[in-house]
Amino acid sequence: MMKIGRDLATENLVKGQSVYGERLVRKRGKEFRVWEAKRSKVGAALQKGMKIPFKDDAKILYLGVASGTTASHISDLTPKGMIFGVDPAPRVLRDFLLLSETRSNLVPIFADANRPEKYRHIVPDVDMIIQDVAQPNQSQILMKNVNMYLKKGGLAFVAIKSRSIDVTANPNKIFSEFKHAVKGLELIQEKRLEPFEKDHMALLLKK
Amino acid sequence: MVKLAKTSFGFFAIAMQNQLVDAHELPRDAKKAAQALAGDDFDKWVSGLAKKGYDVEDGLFDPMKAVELIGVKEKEYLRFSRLVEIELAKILIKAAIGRDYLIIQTVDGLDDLNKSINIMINRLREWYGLHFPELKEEDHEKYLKRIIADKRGESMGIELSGGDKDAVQRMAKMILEMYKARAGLEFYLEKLMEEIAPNLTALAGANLGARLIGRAGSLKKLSEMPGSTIQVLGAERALFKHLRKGTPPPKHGVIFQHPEINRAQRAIRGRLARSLAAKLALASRTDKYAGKLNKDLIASWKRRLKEVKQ
Ligand SMILES: C[S@@+](CC[C@H](N)C(=O)[O-])C[C@H]1O[C@@H](n2cnc3c(N)ncnc32)[C@H](O)[C@@H]1O
Repeated sequence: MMKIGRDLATENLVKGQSVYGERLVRKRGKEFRVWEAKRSKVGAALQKGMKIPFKDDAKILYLGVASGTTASHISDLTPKGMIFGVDPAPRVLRDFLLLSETRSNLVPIFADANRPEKYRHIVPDVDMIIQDVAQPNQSQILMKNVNMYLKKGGLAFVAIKSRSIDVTANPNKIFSEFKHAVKGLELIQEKRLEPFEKDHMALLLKK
Repeated sequence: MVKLAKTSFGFFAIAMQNQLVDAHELPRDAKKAAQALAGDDFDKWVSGLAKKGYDVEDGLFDPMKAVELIGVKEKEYLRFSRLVEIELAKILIKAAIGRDYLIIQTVDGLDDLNKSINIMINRLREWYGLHFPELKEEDHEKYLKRIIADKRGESMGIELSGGDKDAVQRMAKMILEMYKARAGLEFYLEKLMEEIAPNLTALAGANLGARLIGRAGSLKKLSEMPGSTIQVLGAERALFKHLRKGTPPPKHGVIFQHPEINRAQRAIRGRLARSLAAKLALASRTDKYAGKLNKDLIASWKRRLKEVKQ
């Protein structure tokens, strides 16, 4: 990962491929993909100074992978690893499936993260869980998956959109309730995602 | 007690000290393995185990650790399992996309077509107006036909050469084709709706019924919604504003297009919208799970309509 101007960028694992219209930049004989912080909550958290260690051989369970905008950058960062991307929406998972066919460290899983046992036939214990599901019960979803899949010492990154949990409540209240609901995990870092996302918070947690 | 593992390499029963006591291996072919995982092979194997007298523990064993017992290393596990999961996802996505997705594309396509027709008609009226500004014809299709016939008397408009005329007439013909395409799509939408959602169609008409499916995302999602949600589908902005700022709640979303709702007097409109939405919720469930027209449902809406109007 490196900085190109004000943006972050990852070294492209698939030469010449732009996944979501992001710019490709050549530097020192290598090709980089600009990581648009407005399109990716992990990208926004990194821009806001969160330190997320991505081991190049990490096994990662990604809940709410959608079409793989963010997962594609993590794929660049973990060339020897494997990213298991879960989403129950057929339209976006179809795009992620097509992307997975071009990148040998991506796995498309058509399932609902509320039912983690549905993918125990493929997902082994993992080093990291990333969750971006924008659902009212997302702390519950997280804990179920943490209990079933996350290794001891493993990390969980969550993006919380306060409006998806309750449109009427104060975001700060939602965030502190969320932290309380996952207090079995150690809170390592937290960042608000403004100006990239409104009323969003990212947490990095450790099991 | 044995623990079970379900993997892309096969199904395994594992006893204490990681001893493999039963195995049902799958073909090392991604497509075939995916088909086995999509079907009920695993459940059958599990009931077989019960017959053999094994006591099965809840939950599943880490699949990658399970296949180590048959000598499959991590790298091979990840390589092959990924290929299997890609095939499995293809099977599952295909099964999840029903014919109701055609309905959504068709109404959205009709909207796009209408917008395009409007843009182009306006352009053509300006264009042909250079030549024949006196032509008063409100009806768009008739106006287009007049362009093709191109008969004008005394006019202050400019003259058009043969080539000038070709250009504007070609455009007019194309828009007339778009009108034909629109009529064709409308007919197709009616048929599709009668086939897939006969109850919604009977209550709301093909167009509005299709829009409700589109707003919900699928017939399945619509069938899972309570009437109160269906009532405000399409009025999400007003609803959020109500929740956040305390403005009055919306009384109706797209169901306002229903003739009985938009013709109703203001005083009873909210009540009618609520009853219609409740019937539509039932209708979508009937369409999703029975698929046949339920005459009682339609009759009960008619009765309700009378009551409220009195
Ligand atoms: C904000 S989008 C994720 C964007 C994506 N993480 C990225 O940055 O590229 C949220 C996604 O969560 C998915 N989602 C919603 N409920 C879910 C659930 N129960 N399990 C898994 N995914 C879910 C939605 O289908 C949607 O694709």
